[in-house]
Amino acid sequence: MTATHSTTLQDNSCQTIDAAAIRGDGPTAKAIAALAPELFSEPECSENTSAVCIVPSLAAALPAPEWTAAHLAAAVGDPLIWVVHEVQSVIVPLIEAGKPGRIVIILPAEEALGRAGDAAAGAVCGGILSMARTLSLELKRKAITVNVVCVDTGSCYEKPAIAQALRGQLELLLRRDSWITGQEIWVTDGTEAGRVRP
Amino acid sequence: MIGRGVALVTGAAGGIGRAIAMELAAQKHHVVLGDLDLEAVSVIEQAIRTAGGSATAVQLDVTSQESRAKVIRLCDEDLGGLNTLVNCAGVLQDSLIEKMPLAMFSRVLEINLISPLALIAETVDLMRRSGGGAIINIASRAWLGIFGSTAYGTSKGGLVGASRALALELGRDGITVNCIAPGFIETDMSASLPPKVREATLASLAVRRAGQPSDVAAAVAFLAQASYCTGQVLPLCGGRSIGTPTISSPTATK
Repeated sequence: MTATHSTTLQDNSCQTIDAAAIRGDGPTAKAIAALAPELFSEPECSENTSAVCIVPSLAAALPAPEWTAAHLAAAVGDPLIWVVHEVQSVIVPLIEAGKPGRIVIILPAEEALGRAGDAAAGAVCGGILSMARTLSLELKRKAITVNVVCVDTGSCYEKPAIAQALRGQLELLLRRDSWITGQEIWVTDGTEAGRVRP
Repeated sequence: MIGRGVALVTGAAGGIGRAIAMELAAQKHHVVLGDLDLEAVSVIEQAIRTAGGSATAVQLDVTSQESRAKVIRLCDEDLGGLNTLVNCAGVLQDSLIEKMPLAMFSRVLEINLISPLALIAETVDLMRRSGGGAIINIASRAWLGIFGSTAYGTSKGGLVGASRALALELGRDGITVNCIAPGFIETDMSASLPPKVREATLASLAVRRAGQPSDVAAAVAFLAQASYCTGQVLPLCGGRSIGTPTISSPTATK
């Protein structure tokens, strides 16, 4: 039953996802591209891109007392600026053309929840969660949806069921006829259970 | 230790910063009033002294490592430590996403997010040597998303995200890290809002009134002493965060 449902989604997604691209060159971006290659028909963003999955790369963990201003600029400022730049590069042509769009941003669940010694990543994830909330409010009037998927990346690669769940979420959120926006969807094996979400 | 210890408040010359400084002084903290506007914080220092409290006004540019180091040295060498850090300095500048220059976004991040985090990093050692304490970051209800607030909201969401991890990291040192997320607070900045925007904002609040800087100050005073509360966000928004942000138009296309 589950397999049949999954096959149906895959079949539908191929017909209903327009020119989707994945942005990011880190290991998570590559893993997601490998997980669902047929979803991402656009090797690079172009003026035809109407759906994009943005996967920021995060710097290695560093305890707060060891931070320098330069480290913070690189570990916190740069990823946030990169995400805004990627969002603008997709939505500006869409808005000018009056076309709808789909944006999904992928974050690592553990860093988004907060991990001791990795507050720079926490800052990036917290910033992106807030950014996506505002973007969903702003862009709804332009028929552009914005959602975040927080994924337990370790489990994703080790556990096929979670990988399948992530793939299913991407299929749903990138669909041309999706109306879901402003959501934070946790694809984990319980990482966030019992914890206040950010 | 001086009274309840030394509290550094950044952005102390602003409406909210001033109220926080006055409240902490009333609660027997020695308050270091940091702001770009030295003249303004000197006036507040005098007001605190007149009221029987103790304070030191200093010029502080939160974006300058040299300026931050000077203030930390003052706390360490002249005042004997640091127990409470209130990151209140900030800037409100924004635009719709499709029109927002990246330079604007970057500047807001630098002032509202990178600089407070740098100050935290630079004060952790002193706070540890002072026996622990409280870090209170003034975030914003914009953390939950506000139309037209990508830069500001991102910077404040970043503070919230960092605070959770910092709370986990610094708790063993007796340092708590929390955020306050004020909504519509009566300040010089909010006084410049167009009447229609002000009316619509007030109508969206469960309490049907604007917050006062003293509302934020009371929450800061609580968190400065609440040693069992860490990693939390306290919304001070008159119920706006449980209301409806509403921008409704269709998103799906067939």
